Amino acid sequence: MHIPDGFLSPQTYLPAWGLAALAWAWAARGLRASLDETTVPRLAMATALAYALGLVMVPIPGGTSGHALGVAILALVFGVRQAFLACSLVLLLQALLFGAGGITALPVNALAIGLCGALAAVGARRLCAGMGETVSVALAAWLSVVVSGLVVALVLGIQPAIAQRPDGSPLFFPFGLALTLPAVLVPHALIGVGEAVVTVLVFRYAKARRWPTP
Amino acid sequence: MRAAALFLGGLLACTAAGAHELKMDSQRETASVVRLSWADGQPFAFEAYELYLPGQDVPTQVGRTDAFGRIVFLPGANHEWRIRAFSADGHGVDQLLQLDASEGGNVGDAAGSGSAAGGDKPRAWLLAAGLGVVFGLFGLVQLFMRRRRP
Repeated sequence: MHIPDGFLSPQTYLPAWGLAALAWAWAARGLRASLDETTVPRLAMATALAYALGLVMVPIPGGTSGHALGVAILALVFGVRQAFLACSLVLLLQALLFGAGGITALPVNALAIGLCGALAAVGARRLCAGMGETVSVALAAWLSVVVSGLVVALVLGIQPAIAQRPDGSPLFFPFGLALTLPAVLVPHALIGVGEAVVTVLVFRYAKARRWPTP
Repeated sequence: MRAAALFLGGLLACTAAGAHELKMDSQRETASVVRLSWADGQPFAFEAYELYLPGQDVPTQVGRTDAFGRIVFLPGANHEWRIRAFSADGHGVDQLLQLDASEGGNVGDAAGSGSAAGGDKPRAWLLAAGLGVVFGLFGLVQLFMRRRRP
């Protein structure tokens, strides 16, 4: 799901850097008030878990492989702002250390996974609250993966229309929406199931230890 | 006279047809092999790739990786290539490839991987380094919060 360097046109990643900077500033505002000496170690553990989950590659039928994101855990236990910042840190480390995702593409990855994924998780949890804790948390986690995938697929799929060579061939990512949408969404609908299981387990652990959740 | 004109016309038509024939020759050259794989070792198979000479916008070679995730190409005297490989789900690489010079400027084998950073370091070492950064940063935040408290 992490978009590497060289796949996105400057027309895409430059505005994304601006948008992400605004979003990071919004997330950082009020962060000090929301953190205390008990939440910081917990947030550190959850961030480390998201970082590790993102590096466990699971083979998916069709020759590709995928991994969980951990954004739903962060969003449901700590809130959207903390989840966005923690996810951005995770994506930066994965890009620098493993080449999983690019630096130019970092704001797009952060906005897609860290912000849209977190918002989808929290929104779905609230909408499905009447279905019971386990179901609503599972649905929230599944939707966070699918929504993140949808944003990534849309951004990738519009690249051929944004930047082309004089002969009309794509200058950056070569596949259009007709290919990227099924190619990203179908595997991530499966990955979302695994994400849901992990998120429910961690959420239950947090509730059992009376961690305050937003 | 008419027969001669027909003969001449037929001869000219043959010459024009000859201009469309393809010539073929074969020669032995040293190829370079780049292998792309996922982090778990699975090959990046049957995916699109493009090879560029440095500074060029138009690819020198395009195609798909084989079942083992390999790209085979003839680098000639060029030791630096830019390789781009894509899967429709957004995975791939876009990086410079430095080939070893050997045999009078030709190249031997070159291996690539699906990840652009930290290629030679053990994965566990990189994982530990990342965890160290995460806990180090949050440790600093914790320290900062304690010092701010009266």
